[in-house]
Amino acid sequence: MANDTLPNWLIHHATTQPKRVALRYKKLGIWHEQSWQNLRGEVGQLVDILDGIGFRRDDTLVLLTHPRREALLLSLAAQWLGGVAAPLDPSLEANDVALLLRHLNPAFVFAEGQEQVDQTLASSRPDVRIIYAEARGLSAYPQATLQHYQRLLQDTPNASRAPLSEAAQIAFSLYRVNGERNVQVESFRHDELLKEGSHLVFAERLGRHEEALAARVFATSGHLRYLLSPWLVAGFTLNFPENIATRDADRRELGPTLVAGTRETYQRLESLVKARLPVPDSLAGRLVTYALRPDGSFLQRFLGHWLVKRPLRDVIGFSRIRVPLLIGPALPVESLNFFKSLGIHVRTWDKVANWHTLSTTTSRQVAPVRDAHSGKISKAS
Amino acid sequence: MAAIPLLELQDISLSFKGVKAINDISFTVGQGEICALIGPNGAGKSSLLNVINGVYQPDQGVIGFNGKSYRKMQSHQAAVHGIARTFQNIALFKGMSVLDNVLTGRNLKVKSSWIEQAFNIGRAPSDESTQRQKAEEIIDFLRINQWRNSIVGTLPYGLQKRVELARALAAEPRLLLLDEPMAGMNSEEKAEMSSFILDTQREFGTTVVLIEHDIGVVMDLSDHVVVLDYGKKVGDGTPDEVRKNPDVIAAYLGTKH
Repeated sequence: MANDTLPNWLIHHATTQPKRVALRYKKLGIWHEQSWQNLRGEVGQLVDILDGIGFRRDDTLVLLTHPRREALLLSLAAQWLGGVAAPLDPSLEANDVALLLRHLNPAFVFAEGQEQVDQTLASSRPDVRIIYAEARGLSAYPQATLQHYQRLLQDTPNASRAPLSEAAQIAFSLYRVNGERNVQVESFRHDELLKEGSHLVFAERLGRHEEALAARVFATSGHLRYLLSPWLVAGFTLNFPENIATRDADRRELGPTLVAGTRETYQRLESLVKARLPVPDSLAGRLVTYALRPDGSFLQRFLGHWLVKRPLRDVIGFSRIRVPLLIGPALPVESLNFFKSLGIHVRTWDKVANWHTLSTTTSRQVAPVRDAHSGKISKAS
Repeated sequence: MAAIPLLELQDISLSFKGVKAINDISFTVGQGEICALIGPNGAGKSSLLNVINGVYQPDQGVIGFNGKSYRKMQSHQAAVHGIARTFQNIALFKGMSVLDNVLTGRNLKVKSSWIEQAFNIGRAPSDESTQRQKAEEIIDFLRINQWRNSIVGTLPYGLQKRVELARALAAEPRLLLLDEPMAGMNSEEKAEMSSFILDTQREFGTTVVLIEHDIGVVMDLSDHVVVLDYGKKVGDGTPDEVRKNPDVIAAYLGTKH
């Protein structure tokens, strides 16, 4: 079997390193691990679940959730069946999410909890099949098409069938609303994503021992190219924080070696570190400035490393960082220099986005994902 | 009002050195209901809550809880029967973490003996992880995960109120008594706390009796409202019934405090 699709890489790791940790996620304050073998088993169950609710080749599974391992596994299951995963950024305005849902008119949705289920029910077709992760508040919902992820898994035996996906098929489609309220799409084929991922793995010498943090949902091209794809190519461990609010504490506990952050991520981390620094004119402040000078003597650098840099790197969970990646817009030079002074050399990895405008209307009839590649669409200006 | 009563107060009276704080009060709270006690300051609301959970012993009357009648309810007995409460003034262990405070709410659920705990033998290890799991479920339910290891005394007031609710819920109560759970909160915090109280009722089926001064919140949140004035009951019914009751309007709703 050629390693030319995302599911094939999952099978590869489940065969070659079955016991190694593929995912680590925090639930109720405790870190849990899932091996590649176990991951493949759960994705196999999800393949049967999706197939059972009518998901077919070229269908789209919309994912409306914050970062969760369930969304990642369902994406792989949808791709396994030759379908497309379409993660929507949950930080979008409610109006934008509604507009996107009306455009996509999805038949299959993974929703994180009650809020996302409500959004989906309000803006999708009546027979939309929804799998949800958090049952809170949903027990009284009458819709028979609503199903709980964990309960579905409990009711589905382990299964294993060959993936239907092909290298040239679309694996992910990302959607957004631009300034003119048009819906735009950017799609990624399996082979394109794997090529980008392999490039990063080679250039940054990523191996199986990396510990990466997935603090953001895979709803940006950068995170698909430079985190998800390298994870499957290199076979390292992907870590999910408990939730978005605990990500800084969880990063400190983990000490990841690979972080793929946006400009906002790094600026937030910079402010976290700066909040710990003493007043510049004080004695302690002058000592910190002295210790952080890059052109200092050996003793100065030695003391600076152990007494200042290392504790400050601990503050943001960068004590073991090896590959700090910046995805998207560039960081200001001062911020780059600040991280450099702490011994953190932030690298920018990005590629020009290729968004296509789908439509200027809000019709429910507009284009499923595959139409974006049938030549009927106009390129975004 | 729900058909099956969980709490039944019959002719409860309480006095302090001859001053009648509560005078012949009777009402029923159904299973899974949210019941609000309202009334002006000094009406006897907190005293009544203290009678229900055994802090005060009534001079007369009977407390019916879960089909049994009690002439006097002791505090420990109330906790064992599944009555938990929060206080008007936050009563947390301020020097302890959020998690440790919530774990104290699990005290009555611990099955291992102190010897087992001291040497971490027998039932102690599994008991500890069970209690931790339950405490974490409540922490997750009330969305305070990010402050799990924070010292309670360093948290803002609104969050401390939520931690206090978490500690009460950790005891898995059948009846939850909340003494002004939204006092001192802004409107956003009140809305958040209201949704947590509603979720508690919906998800755990917990019966709630609460004291609250914000009439808007009370009317939105409650299934049943009991109005007290000078230690007497002047109204008892659904929010709509109470809103239209002339005695209530005269005693409370129509006046400024």
